[in-house]
Amino acid sequence: MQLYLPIAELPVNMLLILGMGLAIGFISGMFGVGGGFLLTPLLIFIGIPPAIAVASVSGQIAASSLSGTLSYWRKNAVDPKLVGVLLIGSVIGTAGGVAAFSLLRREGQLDLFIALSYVTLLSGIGMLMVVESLRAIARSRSGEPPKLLPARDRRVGTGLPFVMHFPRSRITVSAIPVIAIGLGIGFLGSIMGIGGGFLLVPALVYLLRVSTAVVIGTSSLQTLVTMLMAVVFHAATNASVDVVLALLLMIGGVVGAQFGARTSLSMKGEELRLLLGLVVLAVGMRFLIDLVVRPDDPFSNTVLEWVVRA
Amino acid sequence: MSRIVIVILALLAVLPARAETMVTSLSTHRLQITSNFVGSEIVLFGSIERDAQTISRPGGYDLAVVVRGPRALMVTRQKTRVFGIWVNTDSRQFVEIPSFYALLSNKPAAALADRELLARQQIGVDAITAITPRLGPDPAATPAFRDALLRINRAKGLYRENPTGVTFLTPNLFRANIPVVPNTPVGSFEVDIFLMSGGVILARESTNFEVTKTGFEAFVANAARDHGVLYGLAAAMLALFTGWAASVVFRRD
Repeated sequence: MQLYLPIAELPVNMLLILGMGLAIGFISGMFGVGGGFLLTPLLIFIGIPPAIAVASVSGQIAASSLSGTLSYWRKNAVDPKLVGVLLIGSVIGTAGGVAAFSLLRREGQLDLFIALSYVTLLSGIGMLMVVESLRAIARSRSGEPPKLLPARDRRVGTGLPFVMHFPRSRITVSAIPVIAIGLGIGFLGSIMGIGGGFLLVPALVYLLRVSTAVVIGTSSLQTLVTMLMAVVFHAATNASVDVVLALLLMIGGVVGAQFGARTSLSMKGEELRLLLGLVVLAVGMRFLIDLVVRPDDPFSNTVLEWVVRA
Repeated sequence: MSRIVIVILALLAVLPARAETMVTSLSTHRLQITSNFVGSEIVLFGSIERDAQTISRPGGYDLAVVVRGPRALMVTRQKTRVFGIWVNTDSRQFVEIPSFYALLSNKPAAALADRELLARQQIGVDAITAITPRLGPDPAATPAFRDALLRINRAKGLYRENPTGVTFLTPNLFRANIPVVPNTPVGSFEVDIFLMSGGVILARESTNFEVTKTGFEAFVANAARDHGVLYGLAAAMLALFTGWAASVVFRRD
C-alpha cells in the first residue's frame, strides 16, 4: 500500500513504515529506550532524506516517551525538579543542535557528522553495556549476592556553585553538571535524531548518582520535552517534519512498545542489558563500515535551492 | 522576447523549406499529487500540418519531445579518503539545472541530428548544459562532476531518454507518453516539441504543465513552508495525543 509523503515528496510503502515503527517500538518497550538510534538509520536506509528522517523521528520518540512517562508518573517515579534543571541545558542544546544541523547540511558534512557521532557514541556505550552486563551475569552465575547500594542521599560535585537538593532523586548536586548533561543530550539528540535515553540513563546513574527508582521515569520525561522542542525547532528552521511519516511511525511505535514491555517482564535485567548492548554495538559497527569501505559512488547530488517554485 | 528572437532566427535559417506546422495538445496541464500517487503519465498528441506546395520529406519526419522540470541550484559532491574514512572533500555547484529532464523521440538522440544541433537545442541528457560558477581548486576535474551529476540523476530516473517514446499513429499524427516519476519534483514543467527531418528542425512548439500537490498533501506542505512554528506545534500536539491515546488504550494498572 503506497502512501505519498507530502514533505519528503516521495511515495513509501505504508505497511513497511508501520512495520518498522512496530519493530522499533517493540525494542524500545523491551529495553525502555526511545529507539531513535535504530529508527533514524533505518529510514535513511530506505531512502528518506536524512533531514526529514531525523526531524520526523523526533515526533515518534516524543509520542512513545509520553506513554512511558505517564505510567512512571502514576508510580511517582519521576523527578520533575531534576528535569526542570536538565531542561535549562536542553533548550540551549536543542536550539544549537538544530542550527548546527542546518549549517552542516548546507556544507555537505551532515552525513559525516551523523555517522561519526553514531560510531563513537554507539560503539562506546554499546561496549560499556556489554562488559557491564557480562560481569553482572558472571556474578549471578557464581552465586555471589549482588552488591546492594544503600538507598541514601548522595552528594556530587558540591564544590561547584549553585548547589541544589533534589529530594526525589536523593541527591545534592551543583546545577552546573546537570545543565551540562542537558545541553549535551539536547545537542546530540536533535542532530542525530535520537532521544538520548541510552546516554541520559548512564549519565544520571553514574555521574549524578540519581536514585535508581526514578532514573527511567526522569529520563523519559526529559526525553519527551526535549523531543517536543526538537520537533518545533526542526519545523521552524528546516521545515523538515513530515507529519504523515511521523504519524505512521508513532502508531507502529506505541503499539510495538506495549508488546515489547510485556516481553521484557519475562527476562532478567542483565540479559536485557546485554542484548541491548549488542544491538547498540551492531548499529555502531554498521556506521563504521559505511565510513571506511569505499562507497559505490563517491559522488552525490543535492538540491541546494529551487530557482522558481510554484 | 527571447522566444520571438529564436522563432525569427529559426524562420530565417530554414525559410525555403519551412512549410510544416504542428498542432499539439497535452492530456492535462495540471497533474495533481494525491496521497496514493505512485507516478503517472501525461499524454501529448500532435499532428503535423503541411501546406499543398511543400515537397514530401524523403526521410520522413522525426520528433523530439523535451520535458524539463523546475530548475534548481544543485551541488555535486565528491568523497575521498581522509585518514581512512570517506569524507566529502570537493564539490561543484551547478546553476539552473533542470530537476527533471526527459527526451522522448522516435529514434535515438544521436540519429536525430548532429551533435552541434543537439547541443544548441539541448536535446538529450548529454546535451544538458551544466554551468558551474566556481571551478574550485582543480578546474580540470569539473567534467567529472558534470558526468556524475548526469549519471546520478539518470540512476534516480530523473534524467531519461526514451528513443521509442514517440509513436506515429499515421504519418502525420503522433503521440508521446510523458512520464511523471514517483519522486517527481513539484512545480512547472516545460515541454518543447521539435519536428525534424534529415537532421534539420522544421518546426517547434512549446507548452507546459504543472505538477502540484492537492488537498491534504498541499495543505501540509504549505503549512510546513509558510507557518513553520505553528506546524511544529501541531506536530508536537499530534505526538502528545498519540502517546496519550496509547497509554489509555493499553493501560494495565
